[in-house]
Amino acid sequence: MPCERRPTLVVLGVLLASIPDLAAAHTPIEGIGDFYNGLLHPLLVPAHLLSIAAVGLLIGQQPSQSLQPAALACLAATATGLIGAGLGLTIELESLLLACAAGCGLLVAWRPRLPQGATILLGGLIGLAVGLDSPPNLVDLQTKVAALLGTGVAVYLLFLYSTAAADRLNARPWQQIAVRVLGSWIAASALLVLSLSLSGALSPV
Amino acid sequence: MNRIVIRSDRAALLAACLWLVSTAALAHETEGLAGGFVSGLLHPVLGWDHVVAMFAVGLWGAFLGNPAIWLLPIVFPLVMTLGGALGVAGLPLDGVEIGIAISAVVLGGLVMFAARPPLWIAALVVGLFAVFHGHAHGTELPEAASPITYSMGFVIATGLLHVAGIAFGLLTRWPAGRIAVRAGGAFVAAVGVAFFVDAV
Repeated sequence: MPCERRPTLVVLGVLLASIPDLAAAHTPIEGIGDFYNGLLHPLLVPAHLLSIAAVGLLIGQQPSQSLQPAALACLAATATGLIGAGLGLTIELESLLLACAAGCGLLVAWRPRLPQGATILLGGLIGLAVGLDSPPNLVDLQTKVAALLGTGVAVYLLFLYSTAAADRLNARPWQQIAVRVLGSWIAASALLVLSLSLSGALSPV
Repeated sequence: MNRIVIRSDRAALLAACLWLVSTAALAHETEGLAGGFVSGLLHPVLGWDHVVAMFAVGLWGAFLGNPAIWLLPIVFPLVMTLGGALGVAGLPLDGVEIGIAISAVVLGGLVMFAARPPLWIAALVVGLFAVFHGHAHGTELPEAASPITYSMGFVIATGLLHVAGIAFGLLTRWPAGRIAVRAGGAFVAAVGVAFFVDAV
């Protein structure tokens, strides 16, 4: 990754650090506009954040030639999913996304070499699933499109940043280990919440 | 080229530290996503029995060297999930507090006596105690404002405590450092004994 993109990672980290304690995940934040509400949506829905991060890290661990096709697949699938969500196709996918986060987190910890087809499939599936699980609670077409556009930008950027981070943190052994540890953290968090869902004690996030 | 690589490492470390500090600044709010995350983040940190045991896992991993130095901090949160799932399901695990106290005694003692068992035994010991710690965290998960951010919080806090132990354990590079690390293990074991006596 070029040197000039590296500060962007720090900026993203600072942005994540400055997310205030505001509304719950699926309710819009007053006063910031529909595009920015959509932009924040995947950041404020932990299942989305964890699953995108896990898939991105896993793909980033693969050889560099796998990255571009997977990124293109994610872009196309995210757009498809968001269009579907905008047209009223509602599918409850939070548990599936958590399962994906758990599985991919474990794979990140394990660090296997995946075939290129698998990375393309993963990139496409995560984009499609997150897109479909992001229906905007809006009626007006213009505001709905703005929100979906914001969500699409955020989903794709999150995917790109996590992929790039894992690809960049490949130079030294301790960096590879840090990514693997992060994968285990993602898996552990997702598995715990899944067990809560299965036990029937989970209230809506 | 090397200078650029170092700056990127520091940038990533700075971003991670900023993230940790910023969530601590929201500590007075306990509602919603951030509240759940802060509650989870603080849960291991506010219990000294958790803190010393997690520190000892990192310490022992650094003491054992590669690959234990990273394998133990990976094994621990994953096995902790199992204990957490038991706690979430409401399944009782007798003597959780005693188990947590014993984990500090045993792990601290292993460092103090410079024990170097095979890797699979080390992973087994760490995994066994992870169940108790996970159960303690998992019982509070259903009541959390946001269960998923709560679980993210305590998993991250656990991992960062391991990192702290690893950082201290890297002192074993030097002869005086090896003594300091073993003294650290003795301290952990002593704290564990105090908690054990209190729990019994």
